Amino acid sequence: MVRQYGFLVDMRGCYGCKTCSMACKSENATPTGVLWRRVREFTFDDPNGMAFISMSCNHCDDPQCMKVCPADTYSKRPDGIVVQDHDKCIGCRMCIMACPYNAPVFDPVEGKTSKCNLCAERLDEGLKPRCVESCPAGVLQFGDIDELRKRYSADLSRIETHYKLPDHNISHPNIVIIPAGDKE
Amino acid sequence: MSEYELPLVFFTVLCQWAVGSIIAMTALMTVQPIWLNEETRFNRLRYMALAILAINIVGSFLSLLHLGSPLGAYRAILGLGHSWLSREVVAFFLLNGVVFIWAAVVFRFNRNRALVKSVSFVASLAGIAAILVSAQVYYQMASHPMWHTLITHLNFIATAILLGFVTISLMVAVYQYRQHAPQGKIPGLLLTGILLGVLLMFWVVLWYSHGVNGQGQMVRSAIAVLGSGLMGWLIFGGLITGTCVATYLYKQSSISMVGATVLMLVILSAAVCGRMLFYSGVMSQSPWF
Amino acid sequence: MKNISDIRLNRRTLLKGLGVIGLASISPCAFSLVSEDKKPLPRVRLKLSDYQTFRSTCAMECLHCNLTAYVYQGELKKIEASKDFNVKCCLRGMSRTKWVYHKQRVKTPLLRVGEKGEGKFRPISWDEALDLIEKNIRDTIATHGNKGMMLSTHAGNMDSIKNDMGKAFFDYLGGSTKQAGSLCCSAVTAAMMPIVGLRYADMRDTIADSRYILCWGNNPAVTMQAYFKEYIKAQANGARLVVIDPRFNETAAKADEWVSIIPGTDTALALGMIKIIMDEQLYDVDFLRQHTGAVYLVDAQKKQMREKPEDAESYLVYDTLTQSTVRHDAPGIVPALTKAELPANAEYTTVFELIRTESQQWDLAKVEAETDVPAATVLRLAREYASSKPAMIVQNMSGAQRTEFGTYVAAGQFYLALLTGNMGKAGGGVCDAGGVRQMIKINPPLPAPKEVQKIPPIPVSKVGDWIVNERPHPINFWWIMTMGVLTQLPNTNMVKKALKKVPFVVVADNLMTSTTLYADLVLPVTTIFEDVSLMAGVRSHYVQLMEKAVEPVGEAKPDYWIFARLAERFGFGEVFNQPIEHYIENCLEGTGITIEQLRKGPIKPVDAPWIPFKDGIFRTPTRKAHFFVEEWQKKDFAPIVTYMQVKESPKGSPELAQKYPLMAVQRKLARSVHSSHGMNEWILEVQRNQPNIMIHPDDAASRNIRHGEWAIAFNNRGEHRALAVVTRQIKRGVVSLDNGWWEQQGGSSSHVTNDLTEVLGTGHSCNSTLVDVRAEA
Repeated sequence: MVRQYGFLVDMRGCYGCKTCSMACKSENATPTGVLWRRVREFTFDDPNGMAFISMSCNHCDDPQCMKVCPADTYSKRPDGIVVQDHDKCIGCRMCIMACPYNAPVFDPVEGKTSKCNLCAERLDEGLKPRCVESCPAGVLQFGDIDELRKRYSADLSRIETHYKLPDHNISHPNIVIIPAGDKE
Repeated sequence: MSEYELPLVFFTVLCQWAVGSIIAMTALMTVQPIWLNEETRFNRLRYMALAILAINIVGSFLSLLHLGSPLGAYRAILGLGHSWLSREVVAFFLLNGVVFIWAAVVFRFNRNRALVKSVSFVASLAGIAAILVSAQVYYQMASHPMWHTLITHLNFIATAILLGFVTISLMVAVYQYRQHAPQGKIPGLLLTGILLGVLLMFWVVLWYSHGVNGQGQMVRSAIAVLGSGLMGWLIFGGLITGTCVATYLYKQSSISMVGATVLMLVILSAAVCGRMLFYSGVMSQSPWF
Repeated sequence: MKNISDIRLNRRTLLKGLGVIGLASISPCAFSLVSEDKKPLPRVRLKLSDYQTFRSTCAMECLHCNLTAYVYQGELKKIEASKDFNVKCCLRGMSRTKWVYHKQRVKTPLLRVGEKGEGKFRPISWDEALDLIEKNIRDTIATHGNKGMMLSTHAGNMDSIKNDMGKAFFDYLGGSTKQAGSLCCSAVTAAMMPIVGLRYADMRDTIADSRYILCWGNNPAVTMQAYFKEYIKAQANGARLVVIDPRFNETAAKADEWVSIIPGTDTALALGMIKIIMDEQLYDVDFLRQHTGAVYLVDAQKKQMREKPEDAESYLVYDTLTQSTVRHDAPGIVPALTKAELPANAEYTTVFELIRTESQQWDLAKVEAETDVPAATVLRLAREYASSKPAMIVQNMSGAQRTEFGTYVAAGQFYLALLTGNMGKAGGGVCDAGGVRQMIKINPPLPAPKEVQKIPPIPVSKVGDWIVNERPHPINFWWIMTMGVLTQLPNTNMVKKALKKVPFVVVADNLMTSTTLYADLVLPVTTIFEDVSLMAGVRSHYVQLMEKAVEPVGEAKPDYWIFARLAERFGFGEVFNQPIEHYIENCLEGTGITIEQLRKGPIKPVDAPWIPFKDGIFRTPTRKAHFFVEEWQKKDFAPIVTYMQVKESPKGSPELAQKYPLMAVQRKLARSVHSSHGMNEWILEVQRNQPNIMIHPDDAASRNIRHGEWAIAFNNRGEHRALAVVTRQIKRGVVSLDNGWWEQQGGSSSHVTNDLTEVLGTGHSCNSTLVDVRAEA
């Protein structure tokens, strides 16, 4: 039994193609403007550099969305996936304000917010999350976060400073980010 | 415009205005019992109480507009166990009840001064509690340094006190203007209340400007807030005008209805601007990552 | 599913009636309640077993990744990368769901009712459309002859059937005016065919084996996306990745080194590197002797010497063993390579020595002055490239060869690979675009007609200019398919004039593209997954069957259906109106591959990693690589790679550069393939949805151009509007423009690009363009 699922992003191999983002869009048929997984682009001059971080929901240990949601729409499954009961959502957008990673997305047309559920239904069918499956370079991985952390002990603090990521102590995200290396 | 969260701006400002007015009115009744005893004066308070109730109800109703699915609003209490927004919903639901009872008491049971005073006192306390619950909603968001601070509570209370005491002071001044009778002083407590509101608000502004020296998102928020034209209006329309109103009323103790309305609108609009800054300081940074 | 949608819609309608909208002015949420209907999230998720699946491939000029369509109740629900394929498709492949059900799909034949360019049409039936086409073809042939008909096909659909059918149809009519050359890479063809004897010889199968990868004027992270994992693998194995480009591109961001260069000067860099390789004897003597024409003898008149003039392959060499001139393929000889090995008083020299002579003038200082690549970098590049084996030059239809003398640029890269003996080795060589046609022979879908008139073609870069000026003859009827002439051909304003000038323009496409706006008749054609076809081309190592997954939207028909109906009207119906399987079988005949096999999945015709020219066996008649290109000599150009200054450049046209001092290069984006996908709403959401112009801070400052604000690149040909990106990621004096934006989005960079024909290969010189840029007022 997995205690907690999570994602791994290997920035060394990511060249920013955004296929993961599109795969998510096409799998979940999210409405216009609702993108659950986005690829953040970082451009540097002097010295020149480009870097990319693909991120959706980090299924945090302490999900801020769950904490602030007044309609109790969020819950954490036994495998750690933070899922939303979309029917219960009232579109107050508190989760959007609270999530450090911009995982939940509001659809003004429907008047509700939605977010990545780590393709929980696909997992239940024995498939991988679609974004992970679609990554042309194998940059996105997924699995038991304890296993992923065992394999790659990347320190989030350094990446947070460099790419202005939110402090992981706020919500304890379940993501491993392998930095791009010396070229950062 | 969406970064200003206008429904929330009007909800919080109006309800805080109502609560502040109840507090100021309670203060007035305490320091100048004549307002309880003299029928014409008390009639002013009766209608003022109805107006305050109306403001509170309208404000609370506006909060619904913030929801993408207003019909689901009833579900907003399901998260009571963990969500300060749920608690805010309940708090304001209860507050509306309290304010309704308070207004009813003021309107109907005017002969019983003790009852009116004590109910006013209770309503004031309930109002402050509700405002603090409101502030908790934003305080709860640990990822936004501009919100995750006690300054949020201070900001909300400052707004309530400034608006409430200005309102009741102006009400007294307008009353005296219309009476053409020998004019009494505007109670010092009311004017002190105005200055206290100005001072607290000034503290908030100072804290924002101090944010420029901070780090991470706080710097960006502070720059967004200080760089906005709305800040100018908050300082002029709120801090400066507020101080002027207190000074003027200290000297003159009466004002025409037109004058009072203009001043009220200036200060109210400044409070709205201040609240727009409160939201945009964070929301304009979205996506924060 | 449907029911749930209905309930939700009703609920929304209900909300509208609730008077909440009275306060909508202050509520961003309430505002949206009155906006358009959108399908809500599918709450009931389809299971894998609910779907039917079909396979096809992206058919435009790309890598032709295999796709699997998931269909539920006749509707295309999603597209995934096929599991058993060697690479995974990109976001464009997946976004095709939205292409099939695009808001701007052409659903019926449309006849123009407004002015050209206005985009006003009325729907007509297929019968009316076909009548109209027939009448116009007959009238044109009667009044102008066959040459009055023009056919434009290109890279919008590279399957093995449709473009060929179009060309065959007009040939069966007796011929028509066609386009010569290509926008992408005819310069590469003009270099590769004479030098190594084969085009589309790519190295993608062994990229990971390389120790040194030189991406020269291209950006495989975007343009060879699916295979970029191989580059990363090579790097992980210790390979050095170097990018030569005026722009710090996405590949450069992953590379060990970025070498920025003045556009159009790449041949000078190559010659500078060759000089160092020659001076320091870093070349592969044995390889050159055995497998190349570097040893061929050249006489004083600069002609290659032959044993018998009538035997083209009888090149002479000087055998150092027998001290005599012999045929190059005589057994047991050791041909002389250098001058030192020739007799002292010889009146001839070797091709190798010609290359040395040509490169000798390119000392480091001169290379630096011409290319702006620091002398030390040139020296290091040459040494590293020559000594880290295997080293690969990624040519992949480089932007560097889309310049006035692009053939020399491409040829210079082959020179380097041949001199260092990198050709024909895993992880080495020159990586061109490539496909299955380099491995097996794929036949045309139908037999060629007996008599076709010889009609002079129009160079593709000059289509606009020549049609407007009636060169070489007036065009009365223009059929455009698989090509976005308005976003891809250079000098867009001239192309617009041409479209207005031709009396009857037929555009067969599946969306209301930029070009359809100028059509007289628009024909709705199918997209992939709406018809059956075959992909066995020059961009994928796999033969793939393109299956039909859903019924076409509206009245859309495959291009081959249209030509079949027209062929029936002109009396050769039976050639064109056979079932599609017939034509696919024609293509596959002799390959040993059957449709039945293809139904199970894509087939790669060779088992091992594909290494073109393996063991130094080239595809020229002599099976050797030739440095000396007689074809160029016949056109009065140097037969050995030489550097020539491009005309449209600050040095080549100082006066023009007074007005337009900045050199413009075009870039490709991951959002589109040329202009295909450019209006897909998913792409617009996931990728950047506005054009950029990259400009150096120094160039921006003097022009008051600010980062993130609109700027306009302009020259005497036109204007291109884009958001300024002020960055040091572009060379000073150079701007980078985005290719492929639609007219409806403000237009492509082709509004300003040079329509000069690349001289040796009839190619495209878009990267030899001068512009100036101004901030939008």
